[in-house]
Amino acid sequence: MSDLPEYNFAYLDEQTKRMIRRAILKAIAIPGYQTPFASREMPMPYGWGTGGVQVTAAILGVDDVLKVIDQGSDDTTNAVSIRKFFARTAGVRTTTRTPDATIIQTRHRIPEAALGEHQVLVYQVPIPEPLRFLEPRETETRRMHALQDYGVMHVKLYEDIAEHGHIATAYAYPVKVDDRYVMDPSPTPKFDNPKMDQCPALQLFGAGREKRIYAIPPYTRVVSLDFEDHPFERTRIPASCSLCNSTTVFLDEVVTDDQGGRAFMCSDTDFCEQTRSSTGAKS
Amino acid sequence: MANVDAFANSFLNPVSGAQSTFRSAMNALAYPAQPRALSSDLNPCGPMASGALALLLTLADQETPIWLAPSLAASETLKNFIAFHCGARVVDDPALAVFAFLASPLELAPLARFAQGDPDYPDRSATVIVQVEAFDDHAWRFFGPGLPSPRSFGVSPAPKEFVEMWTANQAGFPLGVDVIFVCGSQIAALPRSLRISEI
Repeated sequence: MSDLPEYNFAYLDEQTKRMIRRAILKAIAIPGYQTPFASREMPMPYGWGTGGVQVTAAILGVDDVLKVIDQGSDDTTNAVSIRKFFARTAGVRTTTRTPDATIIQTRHRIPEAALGEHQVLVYQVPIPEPLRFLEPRETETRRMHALQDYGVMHVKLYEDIAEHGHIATAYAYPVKVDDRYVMDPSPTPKFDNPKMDQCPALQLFGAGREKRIYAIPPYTRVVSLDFEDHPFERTRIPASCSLCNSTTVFLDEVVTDDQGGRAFMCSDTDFCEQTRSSTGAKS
Repeated sequence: MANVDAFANSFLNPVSGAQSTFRSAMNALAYPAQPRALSSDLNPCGPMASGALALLLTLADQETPIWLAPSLAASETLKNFIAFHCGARVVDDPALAVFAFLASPLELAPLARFAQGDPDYPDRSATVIVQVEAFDDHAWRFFGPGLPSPRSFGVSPAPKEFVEMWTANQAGFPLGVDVIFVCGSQIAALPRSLRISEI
């Protein structure tokens, strides 16, 4: 008996995988639409990426190479534990190099390196419904999506402008997918929104607690909502990475001492490492 | 008496067999209207070819009613296979089916007889899996999600008035059906989001 595996491949049982796979196929066919699925209890708490983990488990194969990032970083607790989870339950190869990965599971960032057709990006989503904070009733938001009744979202963005002089939403910035569904891109910084548009890689979104899966197919138009006189702006901290000197990527602010000292560095740790090794910058 | 061979006919490795079949189907829908490889180590079962059978085993189970075109439904061997391997119910009303299997694209019309989904839940709609004799690249022109530029694609035998049929299917978006074509060891798909034009 000892040579039997402890788990089915990638933890989930086959019936659960079939159910998730059916939801994924419908999600791809209806871009931006939130497909319900029977989310399972996973051996990690909600908020740790149970939705993304279930999507990854349903698509993962023995030949896949998995990368997991948390806010762009390969080496934070969430990323390390999910990577170990699949190394243990599926025995797949893992990597931190973006171009080498065939599946990238992400919490709240899109890698800086351009993605290709051989890759699938799996997002961990806390609250999939972009209208939820404007309309708490699920029956109503379903109907609003059915009727494309998205005026309230524009009112919210307008109120931002009235109050702050500009659209203050900095993350989870709503997008319209293929000119039909308004979608929450998960709490990615709005800096990443343009990367979703016409991306060659398939993008899958899994929300475990909320039991929803949605998708952006490759080469699909994704437009950030805005106004003609207040167009969408891609914001970033006007600084360079203190490790690799990059000036075009999304930066994290890091407190360095208790005297108010701070530094900026790449949110995408793999991008930062690659830039440093190719330019010979200090490490 | 049921044929014992039909019971033995299954994926050599059920886990990796279903996974690789699913990835082929997923990529076929994500990168639509272009044939890609579909490997299947299954033997055909009655009138159902190996590739369609692989999709059946990968996607169908006790939660998914199945509708078979009359040419497939005539096969007791196939019905026994579905009952034994999937536990799926074979239904007479196509509107009740989650998956519909057709032996030929000539059986596609009318698409409206399959479940179209609900405005609040457009995912409650059928996926139609069709066996074709060949793919070609000069029948129809598609554009939309999944295609960086318009793409020509066709199947043979070609159903009459397919452009009108697909235009009507697309006009109801987000309602509608999704179609997966299987030809030998190749698969190609048309999600409902895809728009069509004459060449």
